[in-house]
Amino acid sequence: MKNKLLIISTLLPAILLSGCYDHREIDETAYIVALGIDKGEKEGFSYTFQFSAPLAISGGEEKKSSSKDSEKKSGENSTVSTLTISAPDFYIAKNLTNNFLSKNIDMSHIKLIVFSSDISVKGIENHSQLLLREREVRPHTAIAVSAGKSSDYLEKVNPELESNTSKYYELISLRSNNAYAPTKRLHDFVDELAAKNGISVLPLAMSGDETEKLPKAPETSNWISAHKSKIDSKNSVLCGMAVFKDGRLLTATDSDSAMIFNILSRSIEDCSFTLKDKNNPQKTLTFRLIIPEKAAYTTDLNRKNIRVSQSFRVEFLGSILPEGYGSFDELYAYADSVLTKRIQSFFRDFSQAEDVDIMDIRSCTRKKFFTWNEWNSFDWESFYRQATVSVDIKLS
Amino acid sequence: MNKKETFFGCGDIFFFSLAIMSSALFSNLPSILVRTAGNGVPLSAALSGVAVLLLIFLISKKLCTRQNSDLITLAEARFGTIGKYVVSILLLLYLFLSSLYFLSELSEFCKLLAFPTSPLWFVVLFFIIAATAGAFGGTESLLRISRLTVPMFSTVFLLLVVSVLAGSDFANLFPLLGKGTDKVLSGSLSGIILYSDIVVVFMLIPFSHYSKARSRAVFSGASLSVLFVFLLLLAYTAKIPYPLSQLERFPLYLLSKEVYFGRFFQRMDAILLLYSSIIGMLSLSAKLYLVASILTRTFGITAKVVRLLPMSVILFLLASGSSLFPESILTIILLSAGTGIFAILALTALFSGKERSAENEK
Repeated sequence: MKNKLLIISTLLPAILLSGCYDHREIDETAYIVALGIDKGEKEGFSYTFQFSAPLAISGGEEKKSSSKDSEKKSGENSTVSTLTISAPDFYIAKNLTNNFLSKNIDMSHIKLIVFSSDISVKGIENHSQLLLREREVRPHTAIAVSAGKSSDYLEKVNPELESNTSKYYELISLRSNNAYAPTKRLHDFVDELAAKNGISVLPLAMSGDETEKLPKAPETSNWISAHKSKIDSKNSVLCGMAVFKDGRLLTATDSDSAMIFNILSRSIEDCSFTLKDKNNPQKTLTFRLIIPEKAAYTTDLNRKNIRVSQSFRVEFLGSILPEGYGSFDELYAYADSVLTKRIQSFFRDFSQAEDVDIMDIRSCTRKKFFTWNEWNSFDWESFYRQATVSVDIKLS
Repeated sequence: MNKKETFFGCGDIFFFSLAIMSSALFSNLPSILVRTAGNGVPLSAALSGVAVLLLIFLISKKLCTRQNSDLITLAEARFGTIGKYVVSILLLLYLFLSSLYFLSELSEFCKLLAFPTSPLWFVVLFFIIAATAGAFGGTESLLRISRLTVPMFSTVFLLLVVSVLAGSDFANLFPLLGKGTDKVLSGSLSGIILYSDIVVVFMLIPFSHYSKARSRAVFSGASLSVLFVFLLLLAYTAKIPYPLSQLERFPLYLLSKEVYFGRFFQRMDAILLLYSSIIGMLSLSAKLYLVASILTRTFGITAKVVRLLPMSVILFLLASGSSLFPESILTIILLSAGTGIFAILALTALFSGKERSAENEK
C-alpha cells in the first residue's frame, strides 16, 4: 500500500511537469525573423514584422529556376512575409498582428532588430530593454541601425546564395569577418547603454547603392580608403558604423573607421588593407592582417598618455618583392608605419575629436581605483580629451 | 528516531550536502549580495564562504564525529527538557520559514524558465507533492537520489558558469571594492545566510552509521557549494556590468541566457530547469522529513500523515499566495531565521566541548 502511494505521488508531479498549460502547435505559430522599428508618421512608432514562410523555404529547391530568376530580378523575396503596423507601443502592435494573422506570433527566432536612425535614442534604449526582457527574444539577437527607414531595408533583403532569410540574417550580422561593420548583440547593446556612459556602436543597415553616401574617412597618407567603393546592387547591406553617446546618435562613420574599430576590438579575425606604394603611387600594395588578440590599453594618469598596443601577423599578398624595397622587412616596416598612422588618426580625428571613448579605455583605467567613489571623483572625460594617444603595433 | 541504522557512503553525504546548500543558487539571495556590495560581490562571496567553511569545519567536528548526536540531543544534555523543547521549536520555525521561502523562490524561478502563462500555484503544487512524497520516502531515498543526480547537473552547471566566464570582460570586476569596504563586509555577513540550510545535514547525518570520513564528506560538500556560489557571482559580475547587475532578481537566470556555444546550443536555461527541480525537491523533502522527525522525537507525534500533511498544505497555501506579500518581508524573515540558526550552530561549536568534558567527569 505504501509503495503504491509512493508510486502515485511520484507520477503525479511528472504529469504536472509536462506543462500542458503552455502548449503550442508549430503549424499554428508564425515566426518573426526580423523586426524593424521606425518613427510613426503621426505619433508613436511603425513596427515592421518580417515572418518566415517555411513552405517557401522548404519548397525552394522544387521551384522552377525561371520563377526563382524572375523573383531575383524583381527584388521579391518569397521566403518571408512583411507586415508594417503603426502603434504607440510595441505590444499594441504585436496584439494587432493577431487581428490580421491567423497564427500565434512567436519571437524566439528573431535574428535581427533594425532601428531607424530618425527615432530618438531614448526610444531605441527603451525598445532594446523591453525586447531583452522578453522571454522569447534571445539575448544574442543581432541589432542594427538603418540609414533610412528600417521597413525599406527589410523589404529589400533578398539574400544572395541563401534561400533561408533567417539564416542570412544570422550569418551576415554575427559573422566574424564582416570587416566594414561592427557586430552587436542585443544584450551587449543594452549593457553598454546602461553601464558604459551610453557609448555604443551599431552597424548601419542600408541598400547597396547607398554605401557611397557614408561619411568620408579622415585622410591618412598612403592609406587607400574603401569609402569610394560602391556595391552594384539594390540589395540590403550592413556597412559603416553608427555611434551613440549620452542618449543621442552622435554620428555615422565611414567603413574604414568601422574596420579599425573591428581590428582593435578583435571583432574580426582577419582582414586585408591596401596602401599606395611609396615608391610608385600609381601602384598599390595589399596586405592580409591576422588579428590574434584585442588591443591592450595602458594609461599613465600623471603624464596624460594612453598607449595602445596590439600585435598582428601580416602577410603581403604578392608573389615578389615590389621594386624599391630592399627586403620584406622594409616592406612590412612601411606597412607598420601606415597602419600606425591610420590607427592614431582613428583616435585623434574621430574618437577624441568627437569626445567619445569608443574603445572603452575607461574600463582599463578603472582598475587603478578601488571604489566607485574614487573613480567618480576622477574626471575621465577631460583626461581622455587631453591625453596623447601613442600606438605601438607589432607586425610579425 | 528510527533505531534501525542506515548506511551512507561518503559520496552520498557529499552530494547530499552539496544539494542542500546549493538551493540558494535558485533564489534571489545572491541578488541581495549584488545590491549590497555592487561589483565587489565576488570579494563578499569569498569572505562569507571562508567564514562559513570555518564554522562548518568546527561544527562537523563536534556533531558528525558522534553517533546519534545532534543539536536537540546536545541541548537536552546541557539544558534538560527545556533546552530540548526550545531548540526543537526554533528548528521547526526555521525549517518552516526556510521551506516557505525556497518553495516560493524555486517555483517563481521554474515559472520564469518554463511556465510563463501558468499560475504560480500550479508550479508550487508540483514541488509540494514531490517534497511530501520525498519526505515519506526517508533519508535513504534522498541521499541515493542525490548521489545519482547531483554529480551530473553540478558538472553541467560548472560548465555553464565557466563558459560564461571565458567570454566575460573582467574589467567589469573593477573597482574591486565596489561600493566600498563597509558594503563588501556587510555583503559578506548577509552572504552567510546563503548556507544556513547546512543545519539540515547536521540534523540528519549523525543518525546514520558512523564513519570517520563523515565530517570530511560534509565539509567537502559544503566547500564545493561555496565554490559554486563564488563562481556564480564572479561570472555574473564579470558578464553583467554594474549598475545593470543590480536590477535582476535571479542572477542565475540572466546568466543562463548569456551562454552561447554557437547557433545550436543557445537555450541552455532548459538544463537549469531540471537542475533547480532536482535540488528543490531534495532540499524541500529533506526539510519536511526533518520536521516530521522533530515532531516525533520532541512532541511524540507518530502518525506520518499528521506530521507531514498539515505542514505541506500550509506551505502550499502560503507559497501560492507569496506574490501578495512584499518580497522584502520574506527575505527579511529568512535573513533573521538564518542568522538565528547560525547563532545556534556557533554556540554549539563553543559549548559542546564543555558538555563532553562534563560527561567524562561523570
